[in-house]
Amino acid sequence: MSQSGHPAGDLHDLVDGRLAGDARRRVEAHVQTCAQCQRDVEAIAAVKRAVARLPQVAMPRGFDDRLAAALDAAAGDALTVTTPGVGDTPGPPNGNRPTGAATAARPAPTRVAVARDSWTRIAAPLGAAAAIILVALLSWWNASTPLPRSAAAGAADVNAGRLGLESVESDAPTLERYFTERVSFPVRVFDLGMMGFTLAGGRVHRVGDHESALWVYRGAGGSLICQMFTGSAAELPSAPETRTANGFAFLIYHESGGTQVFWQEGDVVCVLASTLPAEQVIQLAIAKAMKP
Amino acid sequence: MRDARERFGETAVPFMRNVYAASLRMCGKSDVAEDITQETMLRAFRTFDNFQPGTNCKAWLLTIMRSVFVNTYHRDQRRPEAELDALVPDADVFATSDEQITAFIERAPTPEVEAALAGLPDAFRSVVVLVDIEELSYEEAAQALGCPVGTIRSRLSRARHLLHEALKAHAIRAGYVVEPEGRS
Repeated sequence: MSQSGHPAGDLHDLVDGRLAGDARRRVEAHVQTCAQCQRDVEAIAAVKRAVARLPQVAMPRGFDDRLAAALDAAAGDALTVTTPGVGDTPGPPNGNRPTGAATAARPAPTRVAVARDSWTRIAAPLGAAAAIILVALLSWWNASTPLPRSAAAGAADVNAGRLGLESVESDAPTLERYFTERVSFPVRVFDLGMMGFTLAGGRVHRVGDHESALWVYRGAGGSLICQMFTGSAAELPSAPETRTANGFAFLIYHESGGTQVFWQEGDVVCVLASTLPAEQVIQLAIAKAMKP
Repeated sequence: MRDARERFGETAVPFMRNVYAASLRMCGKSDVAEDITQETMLRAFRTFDNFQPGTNCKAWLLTIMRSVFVNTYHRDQRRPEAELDALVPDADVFATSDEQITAFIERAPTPEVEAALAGLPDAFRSVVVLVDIEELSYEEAAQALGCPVGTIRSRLSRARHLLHEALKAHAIRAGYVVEPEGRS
């Protein structure tokens, strides 16, 4: 207590969550009965929040590249920001590479002559019907699947080669323009070159029932799949873990053996999904979140 | 060295923006902040073996940043602790707060908050930047600033008081609130 009888310094500890046990109970008991200390706690919390919600500082243009060059020089090797290229990055089997690269590398499929007999005339409409049912089931699955699970499934499909990339563009601004022509919301393709990840390309996809822009980064330890779509983080289920940093709330899920980190940028929801170590995925999301 | 570069890229580089933002708020000049950030990241890379995996990398980088800032760019502006203490009385630091001022501070315009922060003495501003913006613990901030935890606690209390007074003065000057009467 100060000379005035009010626990002035302890009020900051209370606001900062630094009091526990008896000390906390003692200060809380005083605050409950002291109008002045109640006002002070509210004022301290207001000042703290006012400072904490200051917008992020924008990095100077080109600073990433300059620092990468300086670090590369310090590392004493020829590693550049954008290498290794897509073709140099070891990928999982079964063609887990951008569609274009995979097509070029694969042998042409063997042609099988099929007689146009009565069986094929029956099979064709059956196949079409099956395809329609499959599309309907997929649409239902997309709409009813929670967004984290849907994002995890998209990432797994990319990693397993089940979901090809429509663009193999490795330049972020060019890939951004690719999305601008195909989706109705702003897409910000960020550069992770300094973190050791190379942009491998992207495609228009879906998260739940939202149309999304999906793109992929490859790194030595694995892939990162980023998606953006219009929506609200309020659509997400309760997250087992949340972080707040730089004025953003990050909702963290662990579906299908991976990590999915969601955050809101204006009208757009962003998600970074990967089977890399969870903390690494979270820190990358925190580093790249940016207020629109 | 390539492995170290990759590990550094994955572990430390994601916090580059925090280093730049903190240095900019401490020095107020973007070109100087850029130099401090680059020097900090290079110094961190050269001493990356000193970083213990599993500990707070952002706090480690901000400790280096503060050292670069003080030793290279700010060596003549350190002020004695006693002089800082004299800026704010120790007790009842928020004795002039009231509901309407608190309500204004809750929605204070960003430029006014930035101006109030910039107006703090460096030693106070550093604590606010590290604790309230960069979300370091008192202990991590004490490590970064090379001072006892008690000093962090004291400076934070005083810094918030000065911020409160600056924002209150703006609110009264701009006519958002009327001058509150003194409280007992």
